[in-house]
Amino acid sequence: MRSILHLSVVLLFSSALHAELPKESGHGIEFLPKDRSAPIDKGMDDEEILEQRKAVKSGGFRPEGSERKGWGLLENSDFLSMDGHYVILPKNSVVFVPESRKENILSKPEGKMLTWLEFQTRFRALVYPIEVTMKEVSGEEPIAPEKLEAADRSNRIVVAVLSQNPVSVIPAKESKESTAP
Amino acid sequence: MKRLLLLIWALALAPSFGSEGGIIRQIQSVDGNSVIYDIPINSDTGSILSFPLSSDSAIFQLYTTVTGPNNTETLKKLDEKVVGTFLPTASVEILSEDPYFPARTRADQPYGVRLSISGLLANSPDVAEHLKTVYVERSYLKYNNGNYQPTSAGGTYSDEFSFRENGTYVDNGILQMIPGPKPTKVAGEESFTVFLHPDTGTSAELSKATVQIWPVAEVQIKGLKEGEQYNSIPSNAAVSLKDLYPSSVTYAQVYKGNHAAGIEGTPLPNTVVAYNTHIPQKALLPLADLSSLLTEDGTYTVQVLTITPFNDGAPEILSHVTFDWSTTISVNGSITDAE
Repeated sequence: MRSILHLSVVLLFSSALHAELPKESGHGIEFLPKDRSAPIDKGMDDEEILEQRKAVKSGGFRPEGSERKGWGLLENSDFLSMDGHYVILPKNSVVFVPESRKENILSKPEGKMLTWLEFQTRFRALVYPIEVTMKEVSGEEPIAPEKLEAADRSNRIVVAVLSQNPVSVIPAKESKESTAP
Repeated sequence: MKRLLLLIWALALAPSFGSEGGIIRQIQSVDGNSVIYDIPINSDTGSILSFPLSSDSAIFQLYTTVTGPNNTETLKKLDEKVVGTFLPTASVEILSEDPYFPARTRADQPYGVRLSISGLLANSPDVAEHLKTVYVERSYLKYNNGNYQPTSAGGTYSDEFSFRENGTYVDNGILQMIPGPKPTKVAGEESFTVFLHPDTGTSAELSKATVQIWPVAEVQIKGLKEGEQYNSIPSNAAVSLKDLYPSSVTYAQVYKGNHAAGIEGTPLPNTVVAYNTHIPQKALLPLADLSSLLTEDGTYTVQVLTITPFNDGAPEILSHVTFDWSTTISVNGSITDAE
């Protein structure tokens, strides 16, 4: 792998000499290529591979827990559940949870997954989508109080949506202390 | 902060996109906070409306619905791309003697990686420092050796490679490093991920390529012993094959003489088995037609050979047995004269 650092143009793995392998699986002499070449000994054995690996001077494996941090699905999601079903939502798209609905928030997926559309259609009594603006998403403005007040009266979990799709909301500076209505 | 308006994200979905649909997840950073937007998708092609970008870049992840154990559904990431201003583009490609897609090779065969980078503006003062270097990371995932399905055993190799110049970089002598007691028998995959931003906490993938690695085939010749003499072929004589390469033809041949490479003998028609599939195979093939090919007494060798996309398609000797064939009836007795 060290040599990947060198710029080179390499004609690689010419297949011009390949015997034609059958296009389908099967059993019988008709599947044996007619243009086969003389048999050769089989490839490297375990010892030879281990010897070659030593020559590569690999740094081995990265210690557990030091892996590169990517944008993993689970750690960047919120999960709502109801009647053995759950939905995956963007992290911080759930903007308000009534006290009586806290058990519907999961820390990890459990049950049968539904899409957002399926989940909000099936469990209308649980979720209350509110359309937010770009300024509300980016935290330039707090979510308009009237939107949250309407949600509060419904005793439902409030999910922020943009064009009906769930979206994270960055708490506005003046409302970072609490997003509850 | 530059404001880049990107409204249409054209889909070019992978062929394995599930019929149950999935999502495109758009991730971007706004003043150090991440904003995530999930866009449902229900077809293989088309256009969708993305979230308007208000930062220099955004990450798009494509997830499809897959059915896992116990018939439960979950989301599986098929692809990830980062877009934005001043971003370099990169592609990484696996090079294998086996032309199959997705890329695959055999545990004893080297493979190659071709990395192409463009758009790196290492000398531009307008470009943030973290956009001037592209990194490549190599990782692995082990498969179950019984059913060849992915396991949770995986890891990342500690070597990491960085690039600050545009160009095409090739390495064609890469050996798989998947851990296991017998390197020829490992099953799994190795991936090369090209990414940015390693110093800012969370990285963004530019490209990723994965190669599947299948174990070397193993053979047991049953019912025939090295150096033994036979006057008939035992009824249980057979060839037991395991881990046959998914694209291969395997057969036994017989010839008069001792074992050596390079000899083209007579194929045993009942032992020819061909596969063109996606995982390794096993087979049990009787040597029922062997005796009809032993035309005269003497020393014979049976070799089991496999033809794969490797070694320019030359048959490789997996196993062999040499034995003596004698059909001459010798009578131990004497004739005496009564006189």
